[in-house]
Amino acid sequence: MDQTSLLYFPPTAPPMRDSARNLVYSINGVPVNNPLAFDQYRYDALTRTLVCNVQVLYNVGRWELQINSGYSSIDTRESTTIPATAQNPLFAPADLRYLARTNLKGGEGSIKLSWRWGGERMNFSATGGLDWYIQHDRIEAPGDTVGTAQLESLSGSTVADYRDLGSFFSGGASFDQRFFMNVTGRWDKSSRMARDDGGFYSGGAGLSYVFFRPKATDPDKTHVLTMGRLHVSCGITGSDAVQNYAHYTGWSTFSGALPAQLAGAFYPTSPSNVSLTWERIVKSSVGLTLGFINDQLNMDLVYYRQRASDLPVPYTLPATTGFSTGYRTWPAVIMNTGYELSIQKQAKAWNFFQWMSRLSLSFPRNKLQSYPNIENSYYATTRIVGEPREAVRLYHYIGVDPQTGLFAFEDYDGDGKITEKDRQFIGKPMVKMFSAWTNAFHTGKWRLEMTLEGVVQTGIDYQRDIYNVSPPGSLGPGLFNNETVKVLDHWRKPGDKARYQQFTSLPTTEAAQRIPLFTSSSGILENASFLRLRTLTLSYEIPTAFFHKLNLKMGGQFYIQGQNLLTLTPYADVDPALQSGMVCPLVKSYGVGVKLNFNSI
Amino acid sequence: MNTIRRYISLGSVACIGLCMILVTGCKKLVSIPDREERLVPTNGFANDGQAMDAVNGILARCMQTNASFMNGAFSIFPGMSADELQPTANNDVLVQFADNRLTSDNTRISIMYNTAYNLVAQINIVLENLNSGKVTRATRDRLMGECIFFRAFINLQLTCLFGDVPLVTITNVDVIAAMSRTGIDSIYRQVIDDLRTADSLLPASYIVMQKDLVARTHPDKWVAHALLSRIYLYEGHWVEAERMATDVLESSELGLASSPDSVFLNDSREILWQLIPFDDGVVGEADYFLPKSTGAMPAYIIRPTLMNAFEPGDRRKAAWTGLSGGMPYPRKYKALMTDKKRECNVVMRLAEQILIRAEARAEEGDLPGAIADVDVLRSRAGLPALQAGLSSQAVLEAVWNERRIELMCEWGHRWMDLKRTGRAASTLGSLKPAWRLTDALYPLPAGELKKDTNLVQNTGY
Repeated sequence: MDQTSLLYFPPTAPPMRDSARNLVYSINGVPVNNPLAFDQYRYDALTRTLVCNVQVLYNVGRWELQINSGYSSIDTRESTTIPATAQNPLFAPADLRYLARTNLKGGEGSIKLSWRWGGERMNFSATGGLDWYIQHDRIEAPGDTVGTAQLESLSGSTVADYRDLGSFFSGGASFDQRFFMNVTGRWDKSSRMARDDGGFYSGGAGLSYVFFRPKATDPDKTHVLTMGRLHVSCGITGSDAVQNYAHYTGWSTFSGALPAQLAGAFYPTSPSNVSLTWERIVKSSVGLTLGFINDQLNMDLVYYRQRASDLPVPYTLPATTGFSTGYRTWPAVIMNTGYELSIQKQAKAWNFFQWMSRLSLSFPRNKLQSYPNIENSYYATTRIVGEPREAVRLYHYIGVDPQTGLFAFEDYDGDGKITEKDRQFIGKPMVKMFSAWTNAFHTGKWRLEMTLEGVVQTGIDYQRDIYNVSPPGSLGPGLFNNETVKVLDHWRKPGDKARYQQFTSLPTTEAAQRIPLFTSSSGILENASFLRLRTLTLSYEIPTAFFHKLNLKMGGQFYIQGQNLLTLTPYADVDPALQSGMVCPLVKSYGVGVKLNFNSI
Repeated sequence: MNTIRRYISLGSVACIGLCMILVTGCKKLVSIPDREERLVPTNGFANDGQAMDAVNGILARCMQTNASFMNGAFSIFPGMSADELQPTANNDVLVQFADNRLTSDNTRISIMYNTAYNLVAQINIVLENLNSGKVTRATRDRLMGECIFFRAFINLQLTCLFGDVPLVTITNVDVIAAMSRTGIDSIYRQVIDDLRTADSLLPASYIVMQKDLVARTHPDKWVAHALLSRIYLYEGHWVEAERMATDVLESSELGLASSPDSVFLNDSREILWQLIPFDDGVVGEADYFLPKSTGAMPAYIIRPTLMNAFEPGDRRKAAWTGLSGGMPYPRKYKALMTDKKRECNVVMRLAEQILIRAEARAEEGDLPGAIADVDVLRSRAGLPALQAGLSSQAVLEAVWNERRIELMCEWGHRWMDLKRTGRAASTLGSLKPAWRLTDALYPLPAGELKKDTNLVQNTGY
């Protein structure tokens, strides 16, 4: 259980155990939550997994028939016990036990028929077939807590069935080992779509051309450029990633005590989302692959473009529909574009020292390209055409006014008041660049491997967002809470240059009126970029001679491993990747281990 | 040659196999199975029992939360908007009703609006599943009749509060989400159509229930008739109103309770349609009106003008009002925790039909007939008969006055009566300083105008 929210526990809290080591639940008659109670919770889980696969291959000349079939089942039983001693005695608690049972079953299979033909300079291949996927999930959990007396009683089960059927073909051809081309096509039908849905047709084509390759006549000569290849591709794919049964009305029985005469009654809980359809993504990409110095250094550069339309999204429904949320195909187009660069250095075969390195960079961008009639839609005030999906309209924060001691904002319309009309600053809390850099050094029996992760992004400053949770100063006397010490940098008297405005305890003051403006302003945006040493592993290969002495036919290694050892960031708060003060940050962890491979020699 | 032939035959066998799987397996493979855990099969109700449970779900949802729409809300909120009730708590949400200065962000308004449309959606979905499911003809007809009646009732109540409202008879949420308001005339046409359909589908007597169960919880033909007579009265179709009311009054199943005290007990023969309360068996009106302890200040007190409108000797005053903390409060329902299960929420009852006929007769010029009807209720209340030879205006006023007392603090009848007879301005204008003509209609909830931009707010808000 994540205990991070205990950050708000008062630092001056009295002891959590009394002289008899019992947990304390009341201080001078005031009931308190004891954070140590979690310590007594007991959680048990048993998971049984079954996975099996069968593959049958027939090979007759140029023909190949392949039949795959697989089945998997994951069965989990969980129980959480909360003893009475871990609960406030004020409510005369009994031991509680929560049970849950999850059964996920899936089956998949495919039948594929392929044909190939090859000659001196030309090669052709074609494949066609069918594939299917069946999933049946059943989740049971008690609606309420059960006393220990009725341990086995489970009520409320959720069942989800998902089925998908596809047929596909692909064809490929190559000439001279220089031109490669392929064409693919698919048709999918999914149980998540309406019964009369005709399925989704997708397909694509790719072409690649090797424009440079040294002649194979003098293999000993070192070339600077050893390979050059251009590739382009385009295609359409579809996605059925919506809830199961979204096309059908959801029903539920009543949770309260029904009059006996109406026992068994039930009612609809979610609408049938009849307009849901496949999300359509049109993709295209151009890439360049280069190999240098006998292919020791490889570089891959790709530019991609994905145009997504017909997106299924949850939608706030007006009351007249009888439901609060539905799913609907969004009449919008979102364009994702980006560059991806990866550079790879292969291990160079110096005898005593080897170095392998891989760097990948990606610059994702997205844009809400069009949304017909957005001004009349529910997204009129939240989404902005021409801007990324993450973009939000905010007030422009300009600091704490040293004279008034209040948060100040730019008054765009110059009417002397900060109103909804001044919400004109476009904030983009989003990622601009991802990168990962892996290095491996190898000398003799030793190997050192490290992965660095770098992200350039704008995030939400949780420390300032604390104003959403409990504005400093607002808590009434007698209530327990904690605040970050950062809020001590607040305005006290005219002339002060402070990071936070004056404290206020009343909801009616001017300062209190500014709090909701502040939490919707650019003031809570912050640079959350970071560079993190994700993993560092040092390993030592146990000499095979050692095992030989023991007359064992095996190999092995020792290793020490660390995760999240170092993070460099200008971000002032808990974790720049998670950007929340309520969630446990990524933990630093260390490990020591031995890996043995039996029968490896 | 041989090998080629072999390939071809192998290929064609494979192709034929694939095609067969495609044709036969495809549909079955992607149609998800109907499982018990999902309650209702994707193509409609599985059997009669399931269909009945779904209709019971409508009745249960009517009563699930007190004062949300069906279970007390009309007696309380329009009661305050009219000249019947005043809240004692200084709660602006309630005072806005009593002072006729509602704002479009009043939470009670949005609760009523939301609950009503939740019910409409539920009814339409149940109707759809009745149509497509495997339900026997007789059961389906009766249940469809009930559903169509419920929908007519709720639509009529909605227009009483808001005037023009979106008229929803479909289940496609995307279409509903962009609906604009339907004119009140079209809504009345739909309500009348629905009631005629229900009337033809419903049986002429209540479904026989087991002896220990509460009766009249499902509407029958006479209930549809009774609502028709009400809407004809609202529309001024006196002849039809009288005819419908007479049909109901002549039904052998119904009869006036002998004294005002027993009108609201759940075995009363005066009841046309009643709803069973949830949980502890207390109806919404009892929960909101009755003082929670002896001598406590009631949450809603009857305005002096209404208390003074009782004629001396009227038994209804003692039977239907109470005094607590020196303040009068409505007590048509008396059960609060004790004596539970003897009271249900009476939605429609026979006394209203008598008064509808009396008003229709007075409007048609049949003054002795009108007086005779009013006298039936007066005599039950222990009052002397009306004088013969009253002017037609005097008889009409006597009928209105009788409605005011007989139907006091009950389903917002007073609010609707003041509006439909054009007396709202004169009655409420003198009583409440903030009264304006536009207060006759409640505002649509402000949030709804944002979610459906085709909705237009009522004037004055």
